[in-house]
Amino acid sequence: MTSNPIVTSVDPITFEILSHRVYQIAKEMGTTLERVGGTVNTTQMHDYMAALYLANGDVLCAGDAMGWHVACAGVAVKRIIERFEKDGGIHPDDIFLLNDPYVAAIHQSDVYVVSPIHFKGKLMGWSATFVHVMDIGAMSPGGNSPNATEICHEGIRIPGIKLVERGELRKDLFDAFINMTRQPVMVGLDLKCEIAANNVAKSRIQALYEQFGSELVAAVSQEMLHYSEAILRKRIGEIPDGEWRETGSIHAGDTWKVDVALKKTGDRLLFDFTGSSPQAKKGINLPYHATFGACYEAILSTMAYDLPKNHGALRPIEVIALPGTVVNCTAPAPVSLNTTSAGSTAKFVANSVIIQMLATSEKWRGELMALNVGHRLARHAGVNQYGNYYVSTLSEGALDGTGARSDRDGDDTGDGLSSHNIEWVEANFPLLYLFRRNTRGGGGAGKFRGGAGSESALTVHDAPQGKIRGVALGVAGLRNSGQGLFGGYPGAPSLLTLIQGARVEETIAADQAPDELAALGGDSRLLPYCEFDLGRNDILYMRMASGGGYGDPLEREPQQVLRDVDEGVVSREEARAIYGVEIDGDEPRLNQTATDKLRSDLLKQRLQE
Amino acid sequence: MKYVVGVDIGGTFTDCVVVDEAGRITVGKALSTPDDFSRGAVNSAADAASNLGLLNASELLKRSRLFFHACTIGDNTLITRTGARTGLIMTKGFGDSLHIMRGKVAEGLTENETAHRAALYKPEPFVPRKLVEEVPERIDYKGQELIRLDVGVAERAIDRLVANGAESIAVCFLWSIVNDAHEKHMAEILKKKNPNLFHTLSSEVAPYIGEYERSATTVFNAYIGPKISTYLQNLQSVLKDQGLQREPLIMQAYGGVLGIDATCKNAVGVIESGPAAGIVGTRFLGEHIGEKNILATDMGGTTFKVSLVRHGVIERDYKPVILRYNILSTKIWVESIGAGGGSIAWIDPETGLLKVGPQGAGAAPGPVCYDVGGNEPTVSDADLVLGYLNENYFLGGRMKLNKAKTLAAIREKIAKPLKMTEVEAASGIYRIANSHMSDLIRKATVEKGHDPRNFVLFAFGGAAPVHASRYAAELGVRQVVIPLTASVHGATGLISSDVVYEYGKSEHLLLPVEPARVNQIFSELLERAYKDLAAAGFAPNEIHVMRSVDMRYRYQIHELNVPFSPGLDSISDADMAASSDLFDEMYEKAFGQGSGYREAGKEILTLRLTAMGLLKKPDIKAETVAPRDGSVALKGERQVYFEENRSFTATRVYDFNQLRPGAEFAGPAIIETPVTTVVVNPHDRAAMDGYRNIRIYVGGA
Repeated sequence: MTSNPIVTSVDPITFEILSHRVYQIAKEMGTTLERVGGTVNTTQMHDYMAALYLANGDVLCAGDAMGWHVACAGVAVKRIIERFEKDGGIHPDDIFLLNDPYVAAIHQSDVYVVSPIHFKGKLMGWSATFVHVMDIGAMSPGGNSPNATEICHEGIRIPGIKLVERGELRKDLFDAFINMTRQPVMVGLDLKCEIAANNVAKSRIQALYEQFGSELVAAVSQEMLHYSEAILRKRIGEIPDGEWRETGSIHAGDTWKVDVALKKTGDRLLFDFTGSSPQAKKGINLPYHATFGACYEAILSTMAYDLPKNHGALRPIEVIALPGTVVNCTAPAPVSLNTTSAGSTAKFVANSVIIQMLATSEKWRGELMALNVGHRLARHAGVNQYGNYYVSTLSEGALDGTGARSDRDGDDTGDGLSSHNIEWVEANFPLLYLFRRNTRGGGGAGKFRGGAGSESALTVHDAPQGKIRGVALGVAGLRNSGQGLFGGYPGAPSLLTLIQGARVEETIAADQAPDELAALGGDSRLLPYCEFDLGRNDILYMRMASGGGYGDPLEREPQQVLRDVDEGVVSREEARAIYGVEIDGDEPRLNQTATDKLRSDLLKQRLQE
Repeated sequence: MKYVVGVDIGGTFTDCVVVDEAGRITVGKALSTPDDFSRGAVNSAADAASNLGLLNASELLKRSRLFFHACTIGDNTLITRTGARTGLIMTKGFGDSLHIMRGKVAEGLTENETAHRAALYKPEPFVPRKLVEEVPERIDYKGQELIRLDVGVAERAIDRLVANGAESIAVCFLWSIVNDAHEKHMAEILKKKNPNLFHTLSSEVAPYIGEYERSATTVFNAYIGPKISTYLQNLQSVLKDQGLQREPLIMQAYGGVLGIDATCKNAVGVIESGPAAGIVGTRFLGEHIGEKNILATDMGGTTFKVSLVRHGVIERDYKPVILRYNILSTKIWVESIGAGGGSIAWIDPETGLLKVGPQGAGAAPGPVCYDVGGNEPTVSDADLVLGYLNENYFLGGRMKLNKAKTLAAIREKIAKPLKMTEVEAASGIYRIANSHMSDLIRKATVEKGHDPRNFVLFAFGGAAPVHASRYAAELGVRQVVIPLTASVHGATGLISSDVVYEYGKSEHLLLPVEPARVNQIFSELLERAYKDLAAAGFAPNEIHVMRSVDMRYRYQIHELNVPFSPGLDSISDADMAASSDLFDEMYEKAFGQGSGYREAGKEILTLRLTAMGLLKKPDIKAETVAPRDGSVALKGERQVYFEENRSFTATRVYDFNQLRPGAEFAGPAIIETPVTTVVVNPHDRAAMDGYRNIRIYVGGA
């Protein structure tokens, strides 16, 4: 059963011990970011990256960062090396900063801090982090600017500066940077947390060199890359060759198309985005490295979830995206909305073709999950109940439902991130939640049901200015949502709605819970990418993505459907129409005879269609 | 003669530790009796009584000045899901809060489990959705009532829950922590309608901000509360029948004891109280040998656990994760991984790499060497192959180990695929296991800003003394202590405990804060503390209080618990300033110089008060330490493998029971005790102290 060993240049025990340690160090960087970080994105939403690198800028170990961030991070250090090697120099205890999407970032809000690691005067490796800062001095608070038409509208853009020079913080640069944002204190905190994480990495890695010798650590490092690459190539090689296609769309006023063809040949994967729409004069465009990252993430979350995240795992992947398109934009195209538009669409199409490919493999079919991509989110800014200006994000985005799997239902509201407690939000911001719950009937039907995303509604409360400002983000493309698998139905897509002039205060004054929107009236409109005001008696309704179903709903165990009805997850009407299950009685009871007949009728009906 | 008695009921054994007025310790052991645990408790006391020369358990219990108890029934009830059928009442519009879990599907899982998305799902809820009822009511963040409690709906909700079989009710309303009127009102309605129905309010059991964690805590309390009450009342009456005069004192998860009534009200506090007893014992032993900074490591069959004592204070966790739920009930801080004597060594078929754990062989089928059905090589098997364990003297000779079978398993499963010898393979398993454990300790110390070199390391659990000096050396720890009472350290902790009440209040205060406001809150908490401790029989001069606040830089999530100097009457401006400075210092220590961002300002989230009723501690006396070489205890020599030599070395074996205080010798050496084996590595030095603990000086220092 055991094949030829993959690790050859160091003994397998030393490899196991040292690679584990290196991983722990990368993890500790992430923990430091989370603990020291200032923004919701860092502390709650896991929207950050922390990695260790080889001396040439190849990613050595990326802790538990998101896949597409790892791929982008793979570019960051190389660009710093190119820029400073000749001009400015790379010295012990220097620390660099960059946030230019045309260099390495996904959008300007992702601020990289990059630090060389020297040992006995010699450059041995690098560490780097980025966090998504809460403001970057763009035209809209929070950095995502719906009205931007070129990148210069989208805030500070730095291709590389030396923020710390031989251990001394350049306070002039630090202050200049944070001074250009609406939230200097919080952005300052973010930069500090990045510096702390890089310092942690440096001291831990130097201790490792000290203990084991830098040559042995370097040899293990090379083997770690080799290990990821070799296994991934082997796994790809086991799957039949073929070609799979998918199209997604971005609706934000106009419509843009993202096309991909996945060609699998031997141990290589080629994602070809030729055919995707030209870039937009709206910040939905992805730089090339981010498109690459979306493809890598699709592989990572399915067939490589157990492999160390490093440059080796990137090598079997090739991505073609023509310059000047939404998946490989060129300056001065704006980018600030891209994660929730071209980003989630690229992830959707990449995941879809990977799933199609894996479905041809006996080995991987059982691992497939229906999708739940396409989440939306909202930032909010204004004066809070304590009289302070603030910018923040509603973390409902963590409450997507997951897709159904081959052997069980998806989870309601649980996609691996964490949202805030309602009490935390209300304690800090002038907001009042009207409800937060699992979206009834949201999960896609199937033999196994998709998980429901959340639905929440908020209004302002104790806002000194009577209102706050919101920024709505996220694609409206319904197609690229939680598609079902093997006959499963899609899950409900996410959406943001603004309801103005509703009877919120009146309802509360009458001691009624304002938890049914239909009863509250008001004028309702969907929010595409835009800024909006949220005032008294206005409601922001946020529904998160639900997961798709897996398999034919007519094959779902009737007892399961009974339980769904009993718990209010599925209505009796849906049970009948979609699942072919008859439920009788005030206390729900399964009518097996009627169910058998109904299911057989529904199957016949399908054959006739 | 008067005695202090501690009884620790574990899954397999019930331990009893007795201390007499002269400070002598006597131990008793009995099998646990899950059908009625009180029987095992009495049996263990009977065993101790017989070791003391007393007639029976009753003779001991009649003469007991104090009786302490720790149980695992709370943990077992949760794990086996055999608690009360629990209903949950929440604010209308927010009934899914517990099930949503803030989306934290990965909480309490390892990185590998989290990465495998197709196998990642939420834990089964302790309240089915059908047993959640929503009631119209709403309080805002200031405590202002927005919507009155709808009594009619509340009554119908209770009826429905009872009709659906609820045996216990948890109530958790938004913002009940700043205004508990609606929850109190709910309690009135519950009492009126169903006086015998167990119920619990979130504002009482977890008065802290965060509706998800608060509801999870309240539900745990409601779920195990009825069973804990029945259990403790039964235990109390059995012990009383046996002649015990005083109320048994029950160990809490934060490392202090409470009376029966207080424990029943806050049943959630006993979850994971067993390990808490152990760490209290660790601190107590530390005090006797003059060590205030201790890394307490426990390596059992499948799990490796680390806890900390710093400056004589047990490190706490205010927001622990229990069975993947976040709860707001203070417990001692424990970090753990799946690594133990029973951890299975295996070759990854895809990569050909050697892995150790996290799967374990457990007691059944067990390691190969136990010869009770296990076929997968484990860490203990490697320990045997390397000569650390003695095939003829395992557990004092009570179990014969099968060396031939063990060698064959390691050869076939590990050595052959890796093209190594059995010994190289065993050494690989040993080193990888040690490195995983030292990585965990590193995480528990270095990542929190503590330097492991400032700690001594205690080794508990059957497998630890074989490995401890190695994982200690890896971290630069210079001294390992293997306590004499290691095999009953839970019970040892019990007898050295104080009565401890924990109080807290969530209050959002921006610094600088008026000391008057802080003092006002603390005085409310103090009043409750003095009342509770007076009821437990303590005079004011026997009461010791400690005040602290959970503080953080504004806009951050993670807070640190900052203590005030103990024994202050009231807090002054200077005290507030000192605590603010202390926070900066603690923060930079934890996260690195320059990481603190004072400009962001600071805020207080929670004020905490720990009130201790001080009990008279058993007076354990040290024996005279006379320098000697240990040769009288020498029982022979055997071949043992040490990495330093990369070969087997003829190694002296000592009999622990024959060693006397002051005995001292250099490694390599093996010390065999009836319960474990201590490995003294080359370059290390071992000594027995006045309490008959083994001290290993790593590197001979």
